[in-house]
Amino acid sequence: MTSTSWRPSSTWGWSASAIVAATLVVVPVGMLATSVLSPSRDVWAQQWSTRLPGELVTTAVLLVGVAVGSIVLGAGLAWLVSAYRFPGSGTFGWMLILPFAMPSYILGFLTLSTLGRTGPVQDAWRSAFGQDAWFPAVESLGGAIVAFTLVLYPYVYLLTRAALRDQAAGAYQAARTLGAGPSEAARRVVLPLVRPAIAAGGAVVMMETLTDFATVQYFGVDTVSVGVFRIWRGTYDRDAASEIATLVLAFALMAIGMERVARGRAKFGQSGGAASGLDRRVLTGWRAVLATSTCAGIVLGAFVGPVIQLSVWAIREQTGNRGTPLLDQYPGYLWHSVQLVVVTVVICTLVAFVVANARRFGGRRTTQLASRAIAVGYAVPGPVVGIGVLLATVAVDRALGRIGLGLPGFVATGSLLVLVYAYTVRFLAPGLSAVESGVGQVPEEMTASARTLGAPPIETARRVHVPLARASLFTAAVLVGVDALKELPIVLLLRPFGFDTLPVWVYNLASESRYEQAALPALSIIVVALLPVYLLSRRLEGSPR
Amino acid sequence: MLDGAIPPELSDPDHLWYGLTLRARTIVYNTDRMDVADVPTHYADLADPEWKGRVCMRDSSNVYQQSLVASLIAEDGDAEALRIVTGWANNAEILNNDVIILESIADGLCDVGIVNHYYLGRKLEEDPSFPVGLVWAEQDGRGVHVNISGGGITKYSKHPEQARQFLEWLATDGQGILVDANHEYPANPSVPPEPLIAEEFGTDFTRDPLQASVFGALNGDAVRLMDEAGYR
Repeated sequence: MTSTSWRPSSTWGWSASAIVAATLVVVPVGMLATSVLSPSRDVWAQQWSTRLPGELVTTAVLLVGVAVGSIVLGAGLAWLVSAYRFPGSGTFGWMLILPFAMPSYILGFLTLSTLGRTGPVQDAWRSAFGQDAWFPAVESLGGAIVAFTLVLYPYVYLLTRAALRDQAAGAYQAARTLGAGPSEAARRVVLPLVRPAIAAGGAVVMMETLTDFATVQYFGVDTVSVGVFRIWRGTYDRDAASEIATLVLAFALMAIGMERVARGRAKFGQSGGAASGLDRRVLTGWRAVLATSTCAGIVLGAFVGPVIQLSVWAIREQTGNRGTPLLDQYPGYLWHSVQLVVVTVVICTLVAFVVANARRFGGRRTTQLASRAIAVGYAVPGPVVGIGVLLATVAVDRALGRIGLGLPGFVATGSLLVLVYAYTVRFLAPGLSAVESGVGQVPEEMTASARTLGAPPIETARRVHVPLARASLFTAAVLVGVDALKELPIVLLLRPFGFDTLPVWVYNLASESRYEQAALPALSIIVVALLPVYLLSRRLEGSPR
Repeated sequence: MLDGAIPPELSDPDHLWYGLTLRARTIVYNTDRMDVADVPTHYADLADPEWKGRVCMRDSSNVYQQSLVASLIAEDGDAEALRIVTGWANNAEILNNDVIILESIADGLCDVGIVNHYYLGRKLEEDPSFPVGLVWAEQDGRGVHVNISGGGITKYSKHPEQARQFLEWLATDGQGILVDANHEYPANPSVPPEPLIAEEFGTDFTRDPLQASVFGALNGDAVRLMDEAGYR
């Protein structure tokens, strides 16, 4: 079955849509990338002889460390709760998604305030064992890797569990029926089947790490992104900052490349019968204790403990004598965040669905290229996307002005539009990746059958792909929504005057160690991010077994 | 009216903006572990080898650290500024915010450091026995380095007249409201600072008259110089 048997005349509209979406994503990034063609040689020479080599090594170690940590933790836990029963295994199945609601910059400042050099734990340690007693350096690359891993592993966990349930269960049972032992079946049948999901999760985790600039600063870890910021804000040399930022882009492309290599040519669809999930083996004795305590430790350390600490602070702040005049501004911050999230989710999910369908109906090479181009947006750090979008919209503004349609300062200053554009550039990729995996799992024969029976592409998309990929559309909306809610660098850079969101509030307060005051907005982000996490967990657990 | 309320060295030479409050960046020390007479009083002193391992300072991404180094460049020249910052890099534990510097000094992890005065004001407000004190830097010479919070009116302001009235109010009757909450010093010399810092830190100190526009223009040079000095 090839695309040539479908009416070729119907395909170009889909290809064109994918190309338009990809262009809108790529243009801002491209405007930045091309800046390297006219390099600021003196800045490069100066940076190369001072900070840059260290920043490159630090970035590489951070990315690899977080990816390995998240894959081990995420895939390991997914296998543990999918393949075994132990006390609490059902509860942990969904609780392990909870850290998904915890932005790294919140866990970061919590870690520093409790475990950091002047936090209560090290204070107690010093009074117990002496002023010079050794304690692992929390403000370090290692500390940052642990903190990132604890909040990012759910990406790998979610994707792996979905793959285990939808794709690997039947094959695992077949392998067992044919005489393979449990570990042999896991290694030889399940692992290859879930490898694409693990690879995709690992790539997302690396991109999330690459885009951060708040958490790494809390931990004193100097990545290339931090270097770009230092040049941008410290020297005002915006050309040089955009040029150095192309190195971040290079890291992102490497992450994408690694995913493609790890995924290999693997492409699996399951046809015939609903997946029934794995038959879970019952763990007993010390194995059960170990499994339960591992899951409990992760959930406590990455989510429950931090939330309790934030709650204590928030209550103390509201009941203390200082009062919180900032509380008056709370509804405003909240409303700004909600507006941005809703608009971004709607736009990203719609566009992602169109592009994912274009890959079925449009020209294969064109649409595949478009989808890869869109992935770049997510890998470019938020502030760089912001700057690129600013460059692009200012160019549009000027062009409109030249043909007499200009509204003075409309785009540049009425920048809620610009903000939404930047969010879409950044968050279309995770949405698309989720929708593509859903639409990709619809057997090609099914699409072909619908088309052969006379349904035009739009109808095929609506009546065949939407119902079959509904779970992935939902996942896309959740991924985009949570990301948009947590987003910090873009909004710091592009927000219209007075348009502060909850993350901006948290960041400003936490940067000055005003942890108690940062607690309420931080909790709010987590609570809102919990709602989609809850729906996601129900989807994950509530499907037919 | 604004020109009467705010001293010229705290305003833009072209009257584009006016300083409203002052943030002094000065030297702090652990009052339990050190005698005030032994506390260094020049920024350059902290570059001396005797302070190795005893100093906590702010990282080079921070604008206050940048502006302090820019003022060194403006007043001591490139070579001397590079020598000082290199000495800092050798001596100091470099941390990511002023509050952590103060807490590290209080915990005895360092003896001295450089922070903005109002962070110490905030700490003393929460805990009057917080064991960190302040000395005003460079009092036998140019005076302590000061950053400004200020305001101006944008070109496309919809209500320039109201904006001007608001700025004027902030520079006069509004000064008290501005500084009471944040422990900064008022820019208007006829307005007294809030009681806590007036009592703890005093009002009688010399501030570096270097124009903010001058050290602002050297900010990029300061970042590059810190890179070259190996100052994180």
